Formats: sequence, structure tokens, C-alpha cells
Amino acid sequence: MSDRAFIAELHDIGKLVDKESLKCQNIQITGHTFHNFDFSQLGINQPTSPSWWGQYHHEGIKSLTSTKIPIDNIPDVLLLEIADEISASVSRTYPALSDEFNKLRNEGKLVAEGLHILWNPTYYQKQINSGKSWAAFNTKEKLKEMFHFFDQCNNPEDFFARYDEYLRLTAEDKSVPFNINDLNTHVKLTGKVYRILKKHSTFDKKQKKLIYRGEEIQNITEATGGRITQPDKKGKWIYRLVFCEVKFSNGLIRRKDLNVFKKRTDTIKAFSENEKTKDYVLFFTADFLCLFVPKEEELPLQILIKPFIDTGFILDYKELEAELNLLTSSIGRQYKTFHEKRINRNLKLFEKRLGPENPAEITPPLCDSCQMRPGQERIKDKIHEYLCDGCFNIREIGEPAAIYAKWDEEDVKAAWLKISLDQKHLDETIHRLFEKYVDSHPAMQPVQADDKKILKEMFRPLAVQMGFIRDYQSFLDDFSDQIFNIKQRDQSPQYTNDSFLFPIEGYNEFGIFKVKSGEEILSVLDLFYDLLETHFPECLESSPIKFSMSIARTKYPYRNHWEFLSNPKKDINIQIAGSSLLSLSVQQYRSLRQKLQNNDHRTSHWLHRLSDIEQKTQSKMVVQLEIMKNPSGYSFITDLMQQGLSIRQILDFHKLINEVKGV
Amino acid sequence: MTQSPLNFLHYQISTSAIAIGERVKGGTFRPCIESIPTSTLKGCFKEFFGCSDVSAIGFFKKETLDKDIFTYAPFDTITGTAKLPIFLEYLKPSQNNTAVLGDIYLLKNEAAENLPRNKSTEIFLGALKSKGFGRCELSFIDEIKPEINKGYLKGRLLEEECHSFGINRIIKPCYGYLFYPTSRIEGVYKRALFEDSIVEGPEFLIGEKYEYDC
Repeated sequence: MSDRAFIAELHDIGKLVDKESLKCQNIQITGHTFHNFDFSQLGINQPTSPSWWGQYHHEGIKSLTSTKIPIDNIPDVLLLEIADEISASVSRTYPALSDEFNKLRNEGKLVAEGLHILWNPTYYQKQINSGKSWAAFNTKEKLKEMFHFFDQCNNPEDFFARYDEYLRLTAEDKSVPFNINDLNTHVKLTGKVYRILKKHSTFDKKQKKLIYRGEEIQNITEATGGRITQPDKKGKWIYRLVFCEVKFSNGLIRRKDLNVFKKRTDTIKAFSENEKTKDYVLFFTADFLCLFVPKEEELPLQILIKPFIDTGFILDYKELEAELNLLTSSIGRQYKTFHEKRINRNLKLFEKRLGPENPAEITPPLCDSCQMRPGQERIKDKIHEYLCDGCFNIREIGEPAAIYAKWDEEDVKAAWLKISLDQKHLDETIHRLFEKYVDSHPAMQPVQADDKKILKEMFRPLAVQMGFIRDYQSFLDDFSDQIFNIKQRDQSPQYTNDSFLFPIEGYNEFGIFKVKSGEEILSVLDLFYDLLETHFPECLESSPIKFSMSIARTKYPYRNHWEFLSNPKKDINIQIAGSSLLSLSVQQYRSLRQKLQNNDHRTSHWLHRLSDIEQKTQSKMVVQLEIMKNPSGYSFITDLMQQGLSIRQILDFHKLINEVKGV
Repeated sequence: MTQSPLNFLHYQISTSAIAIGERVKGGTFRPCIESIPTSTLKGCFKEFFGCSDVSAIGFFKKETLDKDIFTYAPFDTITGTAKLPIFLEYLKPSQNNTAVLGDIYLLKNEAAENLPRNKSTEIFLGALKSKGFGRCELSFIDEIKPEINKGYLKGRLLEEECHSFGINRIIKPCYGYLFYPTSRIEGVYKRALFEDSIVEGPEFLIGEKYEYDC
């Protein structure tokens, strides 16, 4: 027996094989697994590493009593199958679908043209047009290389380093509507879930049983249970999906308090890369973690997230504790469905908080910054402050945005911007787009309404959500790069490292820039819009990615900026301190941008007049009548009002692009 | 749904400008909150009505308020100079409103029963009273026996006051600290439940309902 590790990520490597090309080279392959492959066609032997047995995961090794696999490898394959099921974007427990649907699927009538990214449907075709290919193995030699790789591969990172480009372009399932998940995301998720299941279970070789928290299982359904619509099929193994917001209590009083973002980014990154904890983290952003963990009795969350608590962070989290087959990232939706159906199975949803201990009483002084711990007097530059050790240490990390301090002397205005991802809105968006895909794809037209309904019910958004977050990270990377490519009219760069700051290294959601004119604000907003259109064209209607900007003189309280940036009301939110407040949908922004470019005083005068009428009468009708009275030239106002914009919003946007001087 | 065994007195306050601060932080910015903590009301009722045994909590109505910033420079009488300007955040009536309105709920006990009911009374709450902030009109609305609900706490109260406000269970605490005077010149900070804690208690304490497991 080989002493190599079982690498779960390799289980679907066969999906990178171009069977049609190989058929033309007289190599016969059926399915995407190679457990029945005739190796004499290549003149080589079957691989010997444990990972090879992962090829049996679709062979129906649904029981530990199988004799097709060496006894030492059977538990790995069974756990892999469980992980594979959890990671699929639509539950694989298909029997609920009609015979007609299965017939369409078996006849290949649902096979789609490549991968369908829900938020970016043309992604696949653009990549193919640029010369990229999903097929890593399309010749006899390359196929030999694949089998060789089973014995060569030491860890999942080797696999991704070598085949990531192909994994990103291959659908986990090639038929509609299952082709919404790329293989990279699917195998990453499967690998993580497999290793956590393995870590927290033991194999009783004698009795051929896998045991987790005293619950013995011999086959998959014993562990996972049935679908949510199968009330009698209880699963024995209960795990948790935990959705954590990583928060802090530090007040943003001084510039050095911004270091708390660096601390948070670093702590999340270290936790997600640490060998002991990385597999628990399914995905993360700069302020959010999604964890897959066993029951509290097996692994108390307080122990797992100790690095956060030790550094003073607070975790506000929602925890779905359920049988494996009932775990899904649409937690609120799942909870509601479960209770509507009154099912006697295990599914619970909690909202909790973990953080540093809070003593019942604190003798003054209290820490000026976090107000959660006793403060000690600290004197710097003749300024006396009371700070706890935690808040003091945050300030000692370094000098963030040192250049910003110099802007004070220049007497300029600054815009603080934050891009953020609304996780709840993301869940709704993913569901909306999946349902649209099921209803609108031409191949789905012959599918019965009942089958479509079941497909929508069986949707598992977890892997899709992971894919979205990966694209969100690349969206942020593009934003932070391309901001310096914006050109002025004379082709010189609009921003340099001195005028546009990303104060916290590795935290691209947050930036500060100098503002001299409305043109500069618009150039940043336009970049956000353009990148949204490039990476997430299907989210223009309603975007889970929010953009907020707060503009004021440099002395304006940081905390006020941050309060505004942290609570986006709509897709695009702009505040000019003491002047105007604007919240727009992406579509409204685009309309305003297209129709309101005229910088003449008459427009300004006219908008002020209409705004007065709107405020006094509170009637759109009276405003419309006033517009009609006016000689031609202002019909664009009616068009903008039809987008749901008030005159006040139109006026505020006009002010924003034409005069920032008065801030 | 069950009813609280406790009775509460419901008052309304209205004001044209008020700044109930977060505890004073370092720096020159003084943020304000949109609720009235029990500690603030305890002090107020003692000062204006001489009642020391009052348990009361209040919430401003979001639709009636806007936030703004008042800038002033405190004067140092010893050096005869102005200090660094302070930016004070305060609540003012929102557009189309003439006053910021709020609700105050008092546990009905002997002390609370002696408070005026038939006519409105002027009280002062919060910071910068000398600059005209915090003048409020307090009027009695009715006596209530609230339903018990599970949900997100709207205001701030000391943890030890939970029982007297009829809170049966703290499902998710979001802690902060409120000042608690122990004499005329001294005090301590006591652990308190802040906004977004999840509790089971009288419905007037609760904003959005909590629908999941406990």
C-alpha cells in the first residue's frame, strides 16, 4: 500500500479529458471516471496511489462493505462521495425528477455549450474565443500524463498549480441547468469537506463502520439523510455551516486606528491559510468567513476561532446545524422551508456572538476607543488618552496612509470609498439568477414545470457562492490596479500613489482619494460601473456589490465617514458632508450619467426650481406639469423620473458632478 | 404569544434638538445615539421628579429625525483661550417634521405612579443644555401590558435591569458599558445590553423579530 495521501481533489480530473478527441485517436473512454478503463490501450499500468481509488466514487461505492476497493481506502472513497454530494450545485439525489426529465438528460439533450457562470454568462465563450480550452487531456501522451500525475501529485496545491486554467473552464456537470459551477470551485470545496469529515471520524476496520460522535454509518444515506422532502430519511451525521461577520469595537478616532483593518485582514488570511484551520474555511472576504465545522461538542467554535478572540475581534455569526444533506448556504430559506414542511429531522439555525470576555463592571477610566476594557493613560504629543492594551497596540502597528496627514496642510477635500459585498443580497441574487436560467435556457423548454420547480428546490448555492467570491476578489484587484490607469484629458494619469491611497495593504475594498472636481468622482464611479459590467453583467439590475463614497474636508471625523460607508442603502451611495446624500441603483446611475452631462447654469436653475416645487407639493404630477410647460430641452428629466429618481436626487447628482468646491 | 406580567407607563417626548452621546470618546467628534439608555433616564427622573427608583428606557422614532453636526469650541477659563473645536452629533427633526419624537416606557412601580399624567412637563436630556439642546416635552400616553416577543433590542439597558424590564431570556448579548453612579461624584461602568442584542421580552423593547432557534 502506498503511503501517499488521498487527494480528494483528483476525483474529477477525468472531466478534463476530451473523450471525443481521444476517440478519434482510437482510445475508448466511457464516463468521466477511469475505474473501468482498459489501460492496455495506453500500454501502461493503473496508478497505485491511494488517490486513484477516488475514481470509484461514481461506481456506486455507497457502502463500506464493497469489495472493489482495498479495505484501507474504502472509507476515503465513501467520505469523498459524501463531500462530492455536498459540493454539487444541485442535489444529486435526483429520483424526484420525472422519467421525462431523466430521459432528456440520458439522451444528451440537456448537454450545454460549456460552463454557464450565472453572473457572467458570456465568460466561457470569451475565454474560448481567446484561445483557451477546457480540455487538459486531448492526446494519448497527455492522457498518459494524467495517469502518471495520480502517482506524482503530493498535495492539492500541486493539482491547482498545474491544471487551474482548465479547471476554471470546465463545468462540474456539463448539462443544463447543472453547468453553473466550474470544476476549480467544486473540487476545492469537495477537498475541504472531505478532509474535515475525515478529521472528525474514525474507521472501525473490523466492523467496517465509520464513526462520528458515536454515530456509526456504513453507507452514504445513513450519514447524510435524504432530501428535505423526505421526512423519514434522517441522517446521522450532523455538521454546521457558520457564516461569520468579523467585527471590532475600536472607534476610528485617529488615523492609526485604521490599522484595525490590517489586523483583521491579516488575522482572516492567517486563519484561512493555517494548516490546522484552513480546511474549515470554505470561503472568506476581508470581513467575512464561511466555516464548515462539526458539532459544538466535537469542536467548540470558541476554540476554533481563538485567534480572532485573542486579537480582540468579535464574531457575529449565523449557524446552521443540520444533517449533512440539509446543509445549504441559503440558511434563512432552508429554515423556512424546513419548518413549513414540519419535518421531524435535525435542522437548527442560531444567531450568536463570540468575542473577548466582558467583565461585569469596570472601574473608570474606560478605554476611549473600544469602550469595552479598562483604559490606561497614554500621552503622546501632549494629548492625553485612555486606551486599553488592545487599542494601543493597534495604533502601534504602523502609520497607515501617512500621506493623508499631509493633505490637511493642502486644505483639499478627500473622498473615502468602500466597496462591499452584501452576503444576504448575494444569496438572493444567486437564487434569482439560477431560477432565471432554469426558466429561460432553450434546452429547458421541453422540461415540465414540476421538474423545474424541483430543480429550483434542490439548488445548493454554496459552491456557486464560492465562485462568486473568487470573482469578487479579482474584481477588487482590477479596481485597485485600473484606478491608476485612468487618464485626464491631457492623457496624464488622473491618480498617482500620492493622490489615491489604499491605506491598508491587502484590503482593496477601502480607498481614499483627493477630490478637486466632480470629474474625479465620476471617473472612479465609472470605473466601478465598467468593472461591474465586465465581471458581473447580470448584476447590473440589482447588485450585491455596493459602492459607497463619503466626501468631506480631511478633518472630517473618520468615524462619520465609516458609519456611512458601512451601511450602504442602495447599490451606489454618495455623501457630501453637510450638503447632499444620494443613494442609487446601478441602473439609475447609468441613466444619470448618460442624460445629465450638461454643465450649464440653466439646467441647474431649472432643477432647483423643480426641486422646490417637489418639496412644497410632494406631487410628481405637479412637477411633470411644470416640465411640460417648459420649452423643449428638458425631457430627459421626465426620462430620469421614470427610473424612479426624484428631482432632489437628480439635482444632487447634478451638484455632485458640477461643483464639489462647497464641501 | 404571552403577555408580560409587568405593567408599563408609556410616555412620549418631543424635542427640537437633542444630543445623547455615546460615552465621550477621544478626539474631537462626539457621536450621538438614537435611543435613550436607562442610565440617562434614571438621572433625569431623579433630577426632575426626585424619583430614584425608576426603571425607564426610550427610543426615538427614526422617521422623525435626521442627524446633523454642531461645532463649538469650549472655552478654557483658566488660560482664557478656546480649546480645539468639538464636533457634536445631534438629532434634529427630519424634513416635514417639526419635532423629533420618542417613546419612553417606565416600569409601573410606586415611584413611577407619582409622575405627572394629566399635563405635559418639560425635562432636559443629554448634552449641551446650555446651548439649547435637550429641552423635551414629556407627555403621558397610556398604561400598557405588553406582549412578549423574541427579537433585536432597540435600546440600551444594564444587564442587571433585564429582570425589571421583563426580559425573560438573553439569546444573543451584544455588550457595552453604561455609567452607573455610586455617589454624587463617583461611579463605575456596568455591563449593559446594547442595540442588536437578541432577547425575549416586552415588544416595545424589540425592533425586528427573531425567528430562529434559541
